[in-house]
Amino acid sequence: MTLVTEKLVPVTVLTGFLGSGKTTLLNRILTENHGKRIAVIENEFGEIGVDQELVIGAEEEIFEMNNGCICCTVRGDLIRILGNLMKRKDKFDYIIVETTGMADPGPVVQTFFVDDEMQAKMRLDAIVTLVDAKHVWEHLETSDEVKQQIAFADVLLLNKTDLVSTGELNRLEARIRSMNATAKIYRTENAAIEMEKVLEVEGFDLNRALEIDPEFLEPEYPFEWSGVYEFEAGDHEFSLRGNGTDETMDVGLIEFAENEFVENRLLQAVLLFSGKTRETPAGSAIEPHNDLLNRLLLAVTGENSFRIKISRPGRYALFTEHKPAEFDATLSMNDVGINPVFSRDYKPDHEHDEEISSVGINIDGDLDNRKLNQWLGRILQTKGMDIFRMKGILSIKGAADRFVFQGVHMLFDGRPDKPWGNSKRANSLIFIGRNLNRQELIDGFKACLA
Amino acid sequence: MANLSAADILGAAKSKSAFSKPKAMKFNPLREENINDHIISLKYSPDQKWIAAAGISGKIHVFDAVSGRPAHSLNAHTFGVRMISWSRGGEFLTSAGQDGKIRLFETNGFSEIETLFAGSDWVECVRWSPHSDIFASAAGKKIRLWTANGELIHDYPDQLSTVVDLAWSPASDEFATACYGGLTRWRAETTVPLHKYQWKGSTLVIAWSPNGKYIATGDQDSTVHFWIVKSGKDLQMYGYPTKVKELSWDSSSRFLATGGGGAVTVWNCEPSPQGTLPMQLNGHQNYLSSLAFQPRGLLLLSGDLDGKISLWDIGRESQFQCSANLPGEITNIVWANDNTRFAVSDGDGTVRIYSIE
Repeated sequence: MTLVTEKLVPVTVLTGFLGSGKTTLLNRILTENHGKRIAVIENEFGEIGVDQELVIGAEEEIFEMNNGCICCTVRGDLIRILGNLMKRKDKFDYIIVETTGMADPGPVVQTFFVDDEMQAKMRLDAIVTLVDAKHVWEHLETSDEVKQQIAFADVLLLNKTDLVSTGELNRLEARIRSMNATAKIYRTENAAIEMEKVLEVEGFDLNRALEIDPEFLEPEYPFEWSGVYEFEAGDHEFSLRGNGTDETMDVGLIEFAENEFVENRLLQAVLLFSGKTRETPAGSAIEPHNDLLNRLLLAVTGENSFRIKISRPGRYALFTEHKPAEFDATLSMNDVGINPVFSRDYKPDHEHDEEISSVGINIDGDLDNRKLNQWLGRILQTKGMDIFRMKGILSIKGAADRFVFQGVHMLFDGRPDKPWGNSKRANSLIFIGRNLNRQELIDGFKACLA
Repeated sequence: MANLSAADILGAAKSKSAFSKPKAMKFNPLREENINDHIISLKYSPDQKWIAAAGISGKIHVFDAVSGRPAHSLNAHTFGVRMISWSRGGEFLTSAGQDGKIRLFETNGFSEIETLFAGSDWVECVRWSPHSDIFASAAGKKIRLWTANGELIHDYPDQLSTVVDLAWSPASDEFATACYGGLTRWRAETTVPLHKYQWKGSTLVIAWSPNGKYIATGDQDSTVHFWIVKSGKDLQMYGYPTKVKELSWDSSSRFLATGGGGAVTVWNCEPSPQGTLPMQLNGHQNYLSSLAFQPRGLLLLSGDLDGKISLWDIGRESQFQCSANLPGEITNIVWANDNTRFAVSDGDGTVRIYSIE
């Protein structure tokens, strides 16, 4: 037997609705001087303006697999085409599969998991999804494919940023983040992006099983932003430009003690947001109050100005329902801008898509292997159709090594990784899917602790 | 469909072997040539004059079958050959290309008669009838039938998805095509299908039994599907570790050898494999890539992705005869009609000719 370890050829799957800029990005990738020989499998007639690369047109053929896994579908055309391509001596260093605008990325991804020949020669690098920042809203509610393309992505490009305001972009990013908590999100104009952000991303590499945005793993808050300010006594002008959509925004203002951290007052802020609200028309005053929320009434276009009225100078925290950046908000006193001493973002819960969400679980301790297997088995059986991606690192009782895993629908891939050593044993995992029951997943997982 | 279970194939095999006194067999290497390209298709001409080897990049190399010396080199396709096929008498050679073309050559001087368009960007199959001088092609959803001059006889109705394989019946002027959704049986005379064998599965290869009674398919979902041609009844063989692309019938139509993993799995199909357990021949450490029963008799050759080839005698109690380790992944094994010579090709482009002694 010859022991030649062939380097696996990376495959990037490019998805995105028609008009999102896939062809533009593809042309950039092909013309960029990266020294790679790239083969492109196209499912849609694009205008690839480059001819030294290999472009193969393919007709998408989705086959169900009779392997007891009801949601397991593969792309027969890819198996045929890539199987042949990989036999050629003039090897390609990189493969890009461009899907049609209306494609569910599931079958493409599963093809690389299910077919032994594919796995022996290629590795799925990442799903890169382009989003038309201006028009995606029209499809976000109605199109399953758009949701799946976002949910499956390792890299999301919010493209055509030149056509929308920063506020709108912030709102879109927040919305998309709520659906897919782990993807890297970049804002692009004309699909212009550094190649290393879209190629060789290693999104399916088990070693990168968990690079979760820390913001994501927090509990959900009814506000998206807080800023701690040092206010002088007097009126401060808080001015917001209508973002075209929201007619109100809830704002809470709490007085802080000296050197107090916002973390200590989060529970109080949550209570404040679930308590009494007072409608506050433009021009009127916002005063610090521990149990009264200000519901700012906003004109959806133009400036809305409010007075933050401070009688005692000192430290105050302002909690806002939406990110102030969405409204290009400014805070000033006598025309001098005031910046917060400290500010932070929170993961929004009110913008959750009804259907698509990410559920992250972070729990210390060791897991009972048998219980875990039963639980995971049950989840994959019953929820496999709805789970698009999952990944994580687990601490199994009695095992010296970290266990890393990832999965697509019902397909699961895992192995022991490096030893825990002296580091704290803990479990982090994430599910991205449709109709996920957060509490049920968390409770189920907790029940697997040894 | 039936899930196959216990049976006694070994007993049957044992009784056969009682007659022949086992003698050690070995591979005797005769000749090797390299074309420096992955050999995707390798075929002896029916008149046994030539061996043609198709490189995946687009060239066909023709060797003298006796001396093994290179004789012709044909620039067949600009973008990859899929398959080559000889006409029944060896007068013609055709190739199917990933450039959408079929190239038709005569074999006196190996000059081209015609370039034909199969109807789609990528020609999957081209196969000559074993009974007359016509050939069929499959490209995308199109099936076409051609004369030896390259004239179109039939353009069959479009199939529902890409036709992945096409096989002539060894027993009559019929052929079968496979696409997602099952098999279709056709007659050369008409474009009306004779029969549709419906099955919701993804087929990779078709193997028609020499007596024409059965059609076996190797499938993407690690199964072998088995059709009884006349009744349309089917069986499914489960339990393979990987997709099944290697199928070979013995000349009596009794044994069907299947790959789909590292073990050679041989089914006894007389009267039916239903309810039987197959023979499992172990010895390959990697997945099989080629299987070939000899033209007459029960010798079986197997080749794998590591480059190992093995010889088995299905009629003996201890089936394993000999093996050899070659440097490149085995892509094709084909027997010569003399029943003792064979040619083997690999992924590095080497064609080796052996005899069995």
